[in-house]
Amino acid sequence: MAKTYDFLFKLLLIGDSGVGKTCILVRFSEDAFNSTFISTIGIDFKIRTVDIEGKKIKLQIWDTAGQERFRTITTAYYRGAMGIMLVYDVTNEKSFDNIRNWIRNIEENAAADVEKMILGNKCDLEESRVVSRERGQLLAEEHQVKFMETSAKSGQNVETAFLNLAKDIKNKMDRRNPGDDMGTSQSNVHVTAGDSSGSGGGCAC
Amino acid sequence: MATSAPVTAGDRDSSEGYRSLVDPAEIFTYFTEKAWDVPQIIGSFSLLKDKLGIDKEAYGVSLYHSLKSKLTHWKAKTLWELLDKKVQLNEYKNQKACQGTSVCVVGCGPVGMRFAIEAALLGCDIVVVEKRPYFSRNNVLHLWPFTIDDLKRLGAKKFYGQFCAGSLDHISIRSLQSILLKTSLMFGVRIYFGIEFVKIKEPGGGRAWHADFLPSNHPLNDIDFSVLVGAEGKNSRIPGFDRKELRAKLALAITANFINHRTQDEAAVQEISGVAFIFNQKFFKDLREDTGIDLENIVYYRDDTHYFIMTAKKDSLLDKGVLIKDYPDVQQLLAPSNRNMKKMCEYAIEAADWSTELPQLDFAMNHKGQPDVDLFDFTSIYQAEYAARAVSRDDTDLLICLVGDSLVQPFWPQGTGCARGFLSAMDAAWMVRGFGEGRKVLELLAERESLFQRLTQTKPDNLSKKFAAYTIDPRTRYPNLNIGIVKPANVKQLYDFDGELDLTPPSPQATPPQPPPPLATPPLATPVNNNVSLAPPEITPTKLTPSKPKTTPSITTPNVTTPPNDIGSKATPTSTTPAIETTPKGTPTITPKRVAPPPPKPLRKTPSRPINQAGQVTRALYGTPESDKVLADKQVIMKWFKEELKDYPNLRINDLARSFRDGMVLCSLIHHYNPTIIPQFSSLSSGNQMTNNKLAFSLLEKHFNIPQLIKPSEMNDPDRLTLFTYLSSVYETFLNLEPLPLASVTSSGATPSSGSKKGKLMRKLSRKNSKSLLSVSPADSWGTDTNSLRRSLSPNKKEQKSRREKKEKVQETIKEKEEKETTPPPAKGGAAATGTETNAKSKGQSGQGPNTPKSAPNVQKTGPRPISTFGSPAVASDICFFCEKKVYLMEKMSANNVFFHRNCFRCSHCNSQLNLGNFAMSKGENGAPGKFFCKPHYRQLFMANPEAINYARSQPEKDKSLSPPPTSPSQSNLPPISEDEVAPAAPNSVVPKDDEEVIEARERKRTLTQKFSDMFRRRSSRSSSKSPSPEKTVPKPKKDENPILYEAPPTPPEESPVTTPTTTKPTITPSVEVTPDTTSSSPFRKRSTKIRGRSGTTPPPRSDGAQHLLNSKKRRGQASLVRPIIAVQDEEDDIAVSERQKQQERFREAQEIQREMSQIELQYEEFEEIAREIEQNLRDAEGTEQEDNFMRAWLNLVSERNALVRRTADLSLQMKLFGLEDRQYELQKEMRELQEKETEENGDEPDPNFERLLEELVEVVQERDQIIQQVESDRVRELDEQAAEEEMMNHRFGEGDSPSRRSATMPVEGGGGGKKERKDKRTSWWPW
Repeated sequence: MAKTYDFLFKLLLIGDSGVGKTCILVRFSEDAFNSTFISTIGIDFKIRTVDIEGKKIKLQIWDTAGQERFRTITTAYYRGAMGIMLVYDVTNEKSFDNIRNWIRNIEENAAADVEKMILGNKCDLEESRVVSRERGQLLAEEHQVKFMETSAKSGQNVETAFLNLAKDIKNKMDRRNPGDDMGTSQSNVHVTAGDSSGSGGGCAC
Repeated sequence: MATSAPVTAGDRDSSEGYRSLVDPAEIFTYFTEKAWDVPQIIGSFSLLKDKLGIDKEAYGVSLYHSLKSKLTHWKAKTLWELLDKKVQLNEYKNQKACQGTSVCVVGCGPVGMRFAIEAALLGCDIVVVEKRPYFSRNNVLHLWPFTIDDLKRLGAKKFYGQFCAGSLDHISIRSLQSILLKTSLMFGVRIYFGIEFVKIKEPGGGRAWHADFLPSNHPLNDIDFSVLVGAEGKNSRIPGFDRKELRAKLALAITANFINHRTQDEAAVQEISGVAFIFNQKFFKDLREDTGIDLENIVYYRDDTHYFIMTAKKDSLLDKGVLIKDYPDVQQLLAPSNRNMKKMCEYAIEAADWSTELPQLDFAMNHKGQPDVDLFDFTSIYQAEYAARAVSRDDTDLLICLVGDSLVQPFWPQGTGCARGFLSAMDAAWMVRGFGEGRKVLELLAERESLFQRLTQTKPDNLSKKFAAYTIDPRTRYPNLNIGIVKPANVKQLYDFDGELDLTPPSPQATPPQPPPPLATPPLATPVNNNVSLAPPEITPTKLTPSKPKTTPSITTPNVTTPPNDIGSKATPTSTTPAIETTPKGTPTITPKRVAPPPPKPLRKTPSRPINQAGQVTRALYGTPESDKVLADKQVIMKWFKEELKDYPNLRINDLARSFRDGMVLCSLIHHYNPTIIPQFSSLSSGNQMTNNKLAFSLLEKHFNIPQLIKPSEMNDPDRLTLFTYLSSVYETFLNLEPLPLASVTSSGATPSSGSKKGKLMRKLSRKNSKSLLSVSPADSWGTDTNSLRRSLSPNKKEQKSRREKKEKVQETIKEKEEKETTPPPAKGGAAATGTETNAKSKGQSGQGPNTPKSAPNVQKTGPRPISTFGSPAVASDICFFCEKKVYLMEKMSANNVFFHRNCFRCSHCNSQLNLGNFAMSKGENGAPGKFFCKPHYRQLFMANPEAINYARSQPEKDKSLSPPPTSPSQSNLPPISEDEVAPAAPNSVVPKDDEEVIEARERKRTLTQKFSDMFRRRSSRSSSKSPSPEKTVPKPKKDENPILYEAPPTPPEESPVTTPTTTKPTITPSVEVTPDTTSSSPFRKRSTKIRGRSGTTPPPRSDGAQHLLNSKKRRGQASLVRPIIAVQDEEDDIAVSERQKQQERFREAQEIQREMSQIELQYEEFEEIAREIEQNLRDAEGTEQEDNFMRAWLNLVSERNALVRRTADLSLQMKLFGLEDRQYELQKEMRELQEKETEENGDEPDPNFERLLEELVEVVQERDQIIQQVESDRVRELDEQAAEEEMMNHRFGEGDSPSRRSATMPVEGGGGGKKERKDKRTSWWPW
């Protein structure tokens, strides 16, 4: 059977309610945007396959509800994630502050060396912006993760962010399993203590 | 005039009142807003021109400019501004792009006019001829989003108020025509109504290309043109365009139009944008039970009329007297003499009445003055072979092209007609533009064909979303377009050229040829010729009138496309180019005109061709290199056996028949592999032939997934072919296995083709192709595969939790699952073997979410006690369980060790067709097989087990109304029928008992074909083609562990021949189908309730809603119509609109899949035919040199079929996903509403309903995830196998350990040796 993809990566979107996680996801998977706010219920995921360095990477991107009431459910999904996007809203200070909490959530629930990235969404709303780019950048560096500002509405950086994250994951995978190009992994290869390379690179907003 | 015109209603004017108007502005208003049929539109336009002093003869866009300059009041101005944007598009080069090109369009339907508009904007001299003198079609078309946008940009808002509303998605043909007519007129298109095109005339005698028209004295006969566009619809009379036909199962549709009195009551009735059987079985079942009307699908649109279209099953039509007599030939069947109009009217009324609550149902009149109801056959979907041709005579070119329905027959369930029609019009216009610019004809034709290919694959979601940017330039519409995919060299045959063809590559600046003489201006304007007494043609498209007889070459599936998120192995289907014949590796040339790889295209079903077509067999004989290898080595297999069993001294292996007779060889093999599973080995003796064989076969089946092909009793004198096949599958299987048992089980076990030799190539081929054509285990013939999955995920029965605790369970199970993933797979025999595999699978799935294993219910399985208990001679596997007649392998199916004709496999209660994915069996005496039922009836009749928590938990029937107990049996806790039974089926069904010895004296030869057929059936019934082990086979998520009850395949009751495409696949249906709960159809009820709510009232509280709905038939009918369109009257609701669109999109995709499934079914039947023939030949040729040939052919067939299986599996996965997504959507909506209510009521405690819904939602998401995981596991496993095999190859050739070995058995270091399952190894780089 023809292979339709080479790898499957599982990503996760977390962040406060209303920051735009679902919009980011919809923008990425369907290239669409709906300005009406429809709160995500529980959990959902979408799929999109992308090309990274010649390999087809199927991305299964989980979209969590930001609302507190769904917290228990959504937390359960951290574990399986290979990459996590922490999203805040540049026009919402609180959501930015909460990033720390989200990071803690990750530490408590997700894999130790999960790839992370912080996204400052809604960067198209310049007039309402309250979190500067620099602050976001700083925060990301603090935690040694990458940072980007995005706008689901305009589409800015959405694709880049995901591709970037996926690339990081792929790189990590490649590093662990050199010479494996069949989409499988060498089980007998050295297990290096994970070297997390997710440290903040420049954002490309 | 008005009297013969069909009824229009409302404020649209059918009178002649306009004639008295004087003020141009008023006339303009009348023209744009009021005029609604041909006479009024044209009449008022003429009047307008008159009053404005515009030359009657003016035509072309200059007319538009004149209008613009003279009509300057504000209303007109807004229209000009809008239209200007179009007029001024670059592509038209200010209407100079095609200056001097004369175009004649035949047919003034929506597409014809749409094209004409483009042509006018390009600056062509354009005329349109139309046979009918007025608009006569009431039917309603579905509109795609881009079409709506397109029409708006043509001024539709001005002409048709509904375009201003946000939620329009359909329009009556008449309205559409009106809109386009008005725009056309304004752009100076000259349209001649009541003129009939007769034929094309070649240049000569001073004329260029022209045509004959009736009446023959009409000035049109004097015009020359250089482009002819056929827009006549189905009955195109443009010569030279062959049609390809795709025949599927008989599909009959009834359309009906009822008068829309536009009362409030009528407006309140919800539209039905299409209810597919797959999504709403209960609805259709109820309908059938209540009325005898058996439909596959129904659509209701409200427009000028109440428009209904429904796909009806033939038998139902016969039963209700709509059709008088049954004929095998469709033409005869649907002949007017065989129809009872009165009954047809009644049928339509009854169906309409039952499914909506329309207060009144009065038929609208058609153009003949009769009730507008019709019956048509859309069994065949045809498609023109080419979109355009060119002929050159006398140095003059004529470009001929088709647009609209002539090009591609619309498939109404998918609503493709208008959209594709418009696209084709634009594509054609693009070509004409090129023509006018002087580009080379061949280039243009090639381009056109590339676009045509693209067109046939078009769906709403693979078009550019920037609708506003659409122009005739195809690149603005088709993303990822490869406009050069068809080369000029490929289309040489489309250019009929007297001289030499110049094939030099196109140069950017081609010198334009001498433009043909401009179209002579016809003297007449376009008054309707009321005196033309042309009998209006048939509305009903019953007859296909292809330009060539139906047996045209290849068939393609116009609508097959890669779904957006590819599940599995779907390659992007190529196209409709029949000429291209690549036969890639492994694709046999049985179907001569097939293009490239999967998805496989259905074979042409040549209706009454006798089977013994030498041609077919011969074709099949041309094998592929791989199949040659296959044949090669009986010797090899024998050697292998010898080698493997060299330590077993008592065996004599000299051949592949007699040596195996006593069964010791196989037993020894098993013992050699894993002694623990055959503990009695030491006590076996060669004399107990029967015992030994029985044991061997059953063990091989159970543990290694090698399905039995031959009966133990037949081993005395086995059919050599069968035995050989069996042994080669044994060989194949064991070859792929690790030597040690712990390595667990059957890797792929897939022994695709018979007698396959072990070329690496062949193995690859087989693996790729058929994964286990043969490795279907009877275990799974039981009902749904969920079982397997369920078993796999929770091999140990877990205690059952109440629904209330489920939420916590969610958390728990996540943790559990984590833990499980680190426990070693038990290497027990028997169920464990499968369990292992399946455990593996579950571990392999590092699914993100919680695994909510539900315990297997305690229902008794039907012991697969054979046949002997029956006591009748009907004990052999080739006697049908039902009818007790002989069953040939081809048509054979089996379930639970019971064999029968595919057609006999019916529910004892309702006689509906069953299939391996949807059946249940009750137990008879002594565990003998009892009776078979369809699931719903089984539940109804055997609501035995209250502890069957699986179902107790949550049918949506119970419907979120936690407390109230189900009212009707069908709603009760359903005993988990088959799902459960599958599990034990493995151990049970396989263990032969002594009774079997009694079997029967009669040794009927089971043909190999039959056996394969059997396997195939079972295989396909389990959908996933890739997984080897029985349960693993199915990517079925533990659906049945979930409270959400999903019916298996969406194909329950089905009379064999009559299934319409929309029904889906009959027996072939992989059991994986998940139809969002059908039995309950409650989600749909809910939705409709909500819809009502939306119309202003709050939805009634859930708890009694369900009951209430349950009780009322009507309501139930309506309620269970899942997809009611949000009432058009609603205020623009962005979310709703986009959600609905998505929904519809899913629906349409589902339809597509269903259609494809049914096509596959058809193809399968063809295979059967061919296979029978081949087999016959094969047997006759046994021992001769011919044998190889036929064997080759046989293998080809097999691999072909395997491709189908895969495809089926993919499709069913997709369907499942759709169902799940749909369900998820439903749940979300409902929950949102609850949430709103909650906030309103300010309650502190969360609504328990909400919690429950949430659980369900999570489960649905989980299920979706499961599918993804499954696909991933399969992928990984395949790689594993490849790796293992490579290693083995290396090993064999003494290369030692290759550095790249990725043996499946290598312990993972990271997780501790042996802890991680093989599957995990694939992702072992990831710690989870």
